[in-house]
Amino acid sequence: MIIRLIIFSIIWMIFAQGQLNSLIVGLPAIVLASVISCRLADKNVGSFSLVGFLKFSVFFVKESFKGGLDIARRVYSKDLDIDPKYVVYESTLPTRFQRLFLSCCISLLPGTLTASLIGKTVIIHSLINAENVKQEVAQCEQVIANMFPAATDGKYVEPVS
Amino acid sequence: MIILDVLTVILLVVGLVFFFAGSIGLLRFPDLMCRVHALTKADNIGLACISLAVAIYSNDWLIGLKIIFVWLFILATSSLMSFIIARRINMSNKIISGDSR
Repeated sequence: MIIRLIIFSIIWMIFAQGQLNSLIVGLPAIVLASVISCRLADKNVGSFSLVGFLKFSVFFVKESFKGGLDIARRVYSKDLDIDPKYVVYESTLPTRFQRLFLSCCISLLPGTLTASLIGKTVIIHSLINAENVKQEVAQCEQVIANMFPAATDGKYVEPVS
Repeated sequence: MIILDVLTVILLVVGLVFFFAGSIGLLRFPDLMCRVHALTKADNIGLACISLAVAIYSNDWLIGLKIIFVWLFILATSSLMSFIIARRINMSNKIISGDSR
């Protein structure tokens, strides 16, 4: 809780450009964000690797840039160069939080968009070759797994649709 | 100073090219799912370029950091929102086609 309070306070102070009088609004917002964040946090996540997070950040920014370039190339090409199809991917990530995290990340990878997440099955809408999609997602999955090295397989809760 | 101004203009133009790609993708792509691809990915990189341009132009590290943070937050929410929209489209398609799985 204290770590979350510190992180949210730093973020607020950056947004408010260090103005202390902004804390009239900021303080309740920081406390509320910390409480909600604690309530929603997955208890099975286990440890969090800062090095893993930095590696993930670099990977995510790089891949999302590649994704943007890829889509712009297709949009501006004469024949669109797309082959839309659904790809079913079985995730090996142990917790639901990690699989949700993966689903969100897939949406910014080149040519992929998560259409559904049912248990450990991720249904991906793809604009590119299915094998390439599976390779890319597996790579992303590995980076996420490194970020939460000691995650345990907690009680699985079926998503509410 | 002139170099920074030129860099700002280049980044703004590149950003606009990507935003334009997102809008053209909306018109050119054949279905809703493909259009979500175009909007999220192209707009994201467009916003990155424009954020970087504004950060350089502001000439103040705190404002620059703030703008980069804004971009990172939008990056996170845009990946989540595109997943939610795609999931909703997928569910609607199943309802229309009568697939109750």
